[in-house]
Amino acid sequence: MRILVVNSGSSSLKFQFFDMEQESSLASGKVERIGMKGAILSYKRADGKKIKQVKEILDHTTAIDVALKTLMDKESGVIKELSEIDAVGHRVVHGGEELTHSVLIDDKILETIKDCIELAPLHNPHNIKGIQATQRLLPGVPQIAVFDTAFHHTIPDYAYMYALPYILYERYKIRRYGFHGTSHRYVAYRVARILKKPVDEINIISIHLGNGSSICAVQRGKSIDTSMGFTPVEGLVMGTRSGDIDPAIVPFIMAQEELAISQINTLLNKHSGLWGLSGISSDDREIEEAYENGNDRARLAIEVAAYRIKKYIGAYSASMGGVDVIVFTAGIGENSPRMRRLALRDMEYLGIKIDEEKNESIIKGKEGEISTPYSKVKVFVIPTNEELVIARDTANIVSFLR
Amino acid sequence: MIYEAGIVGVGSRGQDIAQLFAEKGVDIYILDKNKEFTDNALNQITININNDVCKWRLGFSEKRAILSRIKPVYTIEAFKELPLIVEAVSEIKEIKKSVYLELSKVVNKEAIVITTTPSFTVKELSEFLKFKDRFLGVNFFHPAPCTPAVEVIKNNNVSSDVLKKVGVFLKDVLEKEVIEIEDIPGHITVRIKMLLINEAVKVIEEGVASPEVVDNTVRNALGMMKGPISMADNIGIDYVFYTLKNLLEIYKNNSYQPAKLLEIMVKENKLGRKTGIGFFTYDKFGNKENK
Repeated sequence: MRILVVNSGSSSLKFQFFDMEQESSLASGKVERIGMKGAILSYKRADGKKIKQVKEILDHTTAIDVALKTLMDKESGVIKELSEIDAVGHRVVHGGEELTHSVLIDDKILETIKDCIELAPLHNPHNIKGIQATQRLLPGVPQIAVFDTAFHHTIPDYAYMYALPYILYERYKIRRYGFHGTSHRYVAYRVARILKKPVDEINIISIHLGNGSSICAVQRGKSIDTSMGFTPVEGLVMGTRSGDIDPAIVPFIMAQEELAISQINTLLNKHSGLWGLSGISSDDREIEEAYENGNDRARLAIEVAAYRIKKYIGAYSASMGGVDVIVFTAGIGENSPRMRRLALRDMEYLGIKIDEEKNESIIKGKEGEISTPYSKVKVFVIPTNEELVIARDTANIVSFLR
Repeated sequence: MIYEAGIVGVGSRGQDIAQLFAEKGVDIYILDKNKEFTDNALNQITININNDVCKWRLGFSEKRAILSRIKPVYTIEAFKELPLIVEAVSEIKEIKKSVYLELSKVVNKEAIVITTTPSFTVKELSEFLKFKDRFLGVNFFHPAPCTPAVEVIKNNNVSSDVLKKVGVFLKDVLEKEVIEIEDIPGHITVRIKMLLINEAVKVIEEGVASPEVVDNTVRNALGMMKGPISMADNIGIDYVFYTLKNLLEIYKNNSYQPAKLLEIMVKENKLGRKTGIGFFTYDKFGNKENK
């Protein structure tokens, strides 16, 4: 079975084409600057053959059309006809309370995804555009939606409710939803496979550290808590997002600085986190470099971020009644030995012992264990692969339909 | 869909509109009466955006993206291929007339022209244009990037196709709520705002209260975000003065008789934020000094 995975953003569209017999990616690409002057298509086939073009791509339909034509390109393509695409898997950020599993998209499901726009105004509208465009260009091909929030639907109510007036939950569905679910699910199941243990027999803490970061307690294969909440601002310190803060700081700053809602939103989402603390960059690599050169604000930013991770590890170990495996993934998780070391510093009491040499060597997309053989808790680095999860879910649902 | 536009007249109102367009992903070409004015406008927009970053409304990466979309041009011929032109020149009829005569010669057959006039009717300005079916009014409120709505003023001759195109642009690209209103001078908001500002200036003129007290009273007692005096400084004292004069002439209602103080300030070039001094004083970045 051959599956196209689509991740549609506001002005970009990423796509990847999988052959599910081998679970191999045949080609991938992205279209950037949709609707702007000079949109950019970049594409790479598995054998390394590349295409880069600047052209006019006015909307998502044209972007999908360009993606499909590129996949059929005589020289660099991987298919001859559109009929070789058996199904399409779409990443959808928010499934709300109703959409708790990957699903075949029909009119009713699309309406429900639209209902979730209120909860994810920055993401769902663009995901919907991608779905509608694909429906138009590939009529009759099954389309599957895979939700970032779905993996977290197993979180119990005492963990997803905020202690706010209950009526706000009833009115606006204010609760913890969590994000990065596809990534947490992938690394949790992957690490269980590496350890040759059934996932439902172990407790995993999955730490996704990228531009956005979140941590997830995966108890016997199920998410029972995660650090991102109603929005992706809560939880860990991120590139430009604050993560957890005292909520009373918000009205305080608004009053002191005479800020409007849009300003406080931007402050929390784009001026905070590693960038806000360090004043250097939102990119962890640049901050670590400054740290090495003795910049104290860089040190502070890194330590605040690492300490926040450590606190969550403690909390989630308590939530799950112990932890067997800790997994780091995504940009920073896969590439920053320092962040991993600092986050796990002085945790021998919990049974965590890091092999410094392994920790330093597992970077740049490598997968492997970074704890010592004597460490009670195993620590792994696993590169995430959300597209593969979307392709797998799509394949599963489509085989069931056949 | 429209993703490119030109704007002629980039005083404080034009700058504000140019910033809105660029924030929403539109490539915007700015033009003023000469190179110096155009370049100054770009500098001022940069300062305004920096202030928005300092005031947390925009992030640093957004700032770079926004500025990359604002391009100064120095002749009206640069608007030849653009699908949309916004006119935001001074509220002086003769100036508007000469701009429309120039535009009539230059723009292409599909181009839509929008006036942002607060005080003239779209109908009377349309007399200066060769094509009336592609001309209408849009009132962007200040500050344009933040206010949720715009007023759209139809011209009886405008084609339904053009109206639809502009409506989609305002709603989907600029993400504004569209309020359609009749083609009357001053629309709804300008009439109310100008009276409020004029009365507030008269209160100061009569020595009843200082600008600070007037603004604080209106803000705290009437629950408005900004006081009328700060509003006047932001939109420009000259703009307030000429708009009031135009409204007085049209409506023959003495409430629009501009306060004397406004006239004096225009003569002394105390035009508000843009000249560094109005009712309040401003530093070179446009930040109020005596807050």
